[in-house]
Amino acid sequence: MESSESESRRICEEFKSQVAEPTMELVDANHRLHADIQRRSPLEKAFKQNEHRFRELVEAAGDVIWSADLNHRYTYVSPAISELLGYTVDEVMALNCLDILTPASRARVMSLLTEDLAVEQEIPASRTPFRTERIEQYRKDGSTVWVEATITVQRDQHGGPTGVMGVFRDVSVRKHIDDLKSDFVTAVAHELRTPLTSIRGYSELLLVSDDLTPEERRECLMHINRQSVVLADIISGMVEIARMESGRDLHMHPTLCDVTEQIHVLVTAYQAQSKTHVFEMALPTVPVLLFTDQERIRDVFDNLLSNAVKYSPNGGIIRVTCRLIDGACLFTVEDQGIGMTSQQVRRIFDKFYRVDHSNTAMSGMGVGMTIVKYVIEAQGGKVWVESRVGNGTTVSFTLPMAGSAQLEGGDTVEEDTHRG
Amino acid sequence: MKKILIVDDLREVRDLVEKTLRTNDRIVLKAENGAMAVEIAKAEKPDLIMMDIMMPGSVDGLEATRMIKNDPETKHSIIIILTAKGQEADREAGFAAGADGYFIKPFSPLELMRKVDEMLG
Repeated sequence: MESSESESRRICEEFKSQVAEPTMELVDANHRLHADIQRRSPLEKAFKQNEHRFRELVEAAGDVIWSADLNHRYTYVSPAISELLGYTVDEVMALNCLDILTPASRARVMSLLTEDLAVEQEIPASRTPFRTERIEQYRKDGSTVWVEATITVQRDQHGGPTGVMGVFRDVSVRKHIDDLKSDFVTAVAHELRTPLTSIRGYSELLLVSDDLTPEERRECLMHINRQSVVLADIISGMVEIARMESGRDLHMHPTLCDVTEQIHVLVTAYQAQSKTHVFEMALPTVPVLLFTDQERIRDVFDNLLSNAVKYSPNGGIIRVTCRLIDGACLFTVEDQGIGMTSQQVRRIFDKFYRVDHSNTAMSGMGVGMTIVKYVIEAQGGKVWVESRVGNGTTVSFTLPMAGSAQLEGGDTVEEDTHRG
Repeated sequence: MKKILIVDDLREVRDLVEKTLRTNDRIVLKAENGAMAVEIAKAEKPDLIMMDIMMPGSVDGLEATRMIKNDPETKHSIIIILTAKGQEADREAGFAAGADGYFIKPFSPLELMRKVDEMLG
């Protein structure tokens, strides 16, 4: 018994002495490690701060900053994507990047990527080449948005591609301006050609033809003179639009007037001119008093009625209505003409946009509906268009009733008095 | 006597082309849309047709050109298109429809005169 006790004590001592050395080593290592951590901690902190700063920069950008792998999956997308496409970051990360491109843009991007990824080369990091392309992406709600994509291929140290990264910028507004510009050029070119044909043609004829009678010479000069007036009118129209755009200078002269009487006079005049169309009116039996610029409102109806006639080539009924609703007056001009596609309806108020370029008889700068919108909105009204191809078009607009307009007028007067 | 048919929806342009091309040994006919042009071409067999493209009605100048050139009775009429449509694609469409010449408005009467003199021989 005793010997076994001393035996176990001996083993224990032996064990202790065996453990002592490694324990010392461990303690030592622990100290060293601790010192190491102490030394690194500020570095790590700086690194974390740096990452935080870059993340904040990327996430605060209005443009979408992203990276993707070679399987077209996003590996990072900045939150601006929600504004651009309507998807959350998580939703978009679950999608294939190419699946949310329109077919034409998808084909374009695929061919560019194939081209760029095929290149295997060493590129100095400081001079990574990038491409800028305009592509059209689907938003979550199914609509599309034009995006300027700047794309760079990421590469490893051997030059092999490892992924793609880039920036998306919303260029819908720029694209819209480009469309306007192109409409403008088309409209101006088209409108200028007709008067210039007469001016150039008749003047050259006068210069080279000896067999013209004096009456014919006079006739040529009259054509030249008249068409130069047409050119001047085109310029006036453009100036008018520019002035309305600036919003400063619409020259409204509102007076109290019975708008049903005006409609009656104008529609009767149209009926007298156009034998092929039937004009109907559904107007209140009592006078409708509006505080409005009579001449401008006549321009509005003139525009709407002439469009209705122009785009109902086979005649049909053109119906003008006026109803009173919630302190406003609702007007509609409805035809049974060729109608428009939803695409055309969307652009109808754009200046210089013309639905139909097909013949010279449909002249015009494509500014009629733009002017209509300006005039109505300047008087506190709203205007909208409903149409279907082959099923006619209805233009509706509201104008505030005289009561409310007069109240506003009263306020202004009072303010002026205070300022005295 | 050579017969010339002038097709344009604007009277002012028809008169300009007439004054440009008329001579003592030419008869000038006029039409103001594509359907009328095809009809007159059939009845009168003009030697040359000046054809506008953008005109109201279901038959525009391109369609009228095609119809005249596809009809064995009228295909011998020379057709010169005279249009405001000035892009390269428009010109190609004109020749594809069968036109023999293409002038863009505004045009030079002197150039048109020479071209027509040359084509009528």
